[in-house]
Amino acid sequence: MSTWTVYRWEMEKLAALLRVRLAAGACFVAPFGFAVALRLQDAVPADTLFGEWVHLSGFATPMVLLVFTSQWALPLIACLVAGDIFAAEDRYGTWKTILTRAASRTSIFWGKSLAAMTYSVLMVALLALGGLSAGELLIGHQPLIGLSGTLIPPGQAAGLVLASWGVAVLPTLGFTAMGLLFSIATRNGPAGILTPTVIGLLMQLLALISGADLVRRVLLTTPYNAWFGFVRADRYYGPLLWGTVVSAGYVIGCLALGYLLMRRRDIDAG
Amino acid sequence: MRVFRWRPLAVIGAAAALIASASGCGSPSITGAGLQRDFGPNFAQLYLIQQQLIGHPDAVADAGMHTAICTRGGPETPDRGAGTNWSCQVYWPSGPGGQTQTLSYEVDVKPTGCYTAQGPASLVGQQTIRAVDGRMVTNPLFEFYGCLDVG
Repeated sequence: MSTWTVYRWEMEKLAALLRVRLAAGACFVAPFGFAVALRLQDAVPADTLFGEWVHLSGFATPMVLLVFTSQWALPLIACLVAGDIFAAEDRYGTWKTILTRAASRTSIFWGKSLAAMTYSVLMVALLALGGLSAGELLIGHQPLIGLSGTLIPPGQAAGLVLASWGVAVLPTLGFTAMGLLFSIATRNGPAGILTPTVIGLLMQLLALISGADLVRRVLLTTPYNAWFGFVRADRYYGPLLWGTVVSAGYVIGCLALGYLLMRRRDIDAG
Repeated sequence: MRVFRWRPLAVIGAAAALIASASGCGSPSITGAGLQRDFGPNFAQLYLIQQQLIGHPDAVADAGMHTAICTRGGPETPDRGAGTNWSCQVYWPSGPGGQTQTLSYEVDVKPTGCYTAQGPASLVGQQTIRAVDGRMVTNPLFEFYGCLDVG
């Protein structure tokens, strides 16, 4: 079986999983609940970027949501699938079965990895579209005050919201790859799901306590902030370029390590 | 072959140790000069938005309003790095007789380079203000955000 066949087969399995369906539903519906909560009260999440502007423009809703979810929710959502996708075969004892169905280890590795990556991208897209439509419908499409104090017209604001969420895909794929690695390495679903999430939280903590730029630059959580540079009038793209390099580094590193572990694994004995 | 299960953990542990040992290196790129370069124009733009909201579309932000002076803590604290004890001084043009007044924002700069600034309500107004059309709207000058390029 080719990688493509494994991929389609994995996507079908994912679509049937209750966990995946609930996550997808929550990603699209939760932003509406969030926007309703913002509408019903005068208080604003002022400490969060754009929090002060939630009543001023509906485009602030998806931005506040991005700041909130990139703290820990995005790594967790990504690893909900990635962290279990290999370990599930251990849990059900199905490694021998799938390997004897003429699927090579390589195609299983890439098929499963691509399926987990697709799921992660879809979840980020659902959150972005959910946040954007919730803000638009419940608060409105007034111009947004950017990070340089200038008003961003609605059309451009919508584009920048989507671009910011697009940037969040990069580190989320890094966490997905980390989930895949731990799924292979620990052969345990919960460990595969939770370990990268905890690493993400530790990275946030490290960025908070360490004043050194060098440390902050190599953390996988930093690329989540790359949009700071372009939701403004005078833009800078350094953090975006570097964030892309860092995210790609984590993806390649984790996948390479995961692939080696999978190649070397003794299935008959395991 | 269970021995392989711990190898990635060891690699990650080693990487974390390397990162932790590098914590002492590097210089923070949050400086008073950088903050005031961003803060002044940010404040001046928001002043214009506020004036439009309350019905003064002809308001202008003169060159002085683009200039801010940002310092951290007391005289003994160096003006760099993240912290809650930053303050930025800017000018407010609507004093009596057209005189400019100095006002001071309390600024919280995060390690990400982003800051939250809170101004004195006596000069910039409360959190919500009455717009020209009678609605209560968020006052853009009461509290606002900005981000410095920390690379």
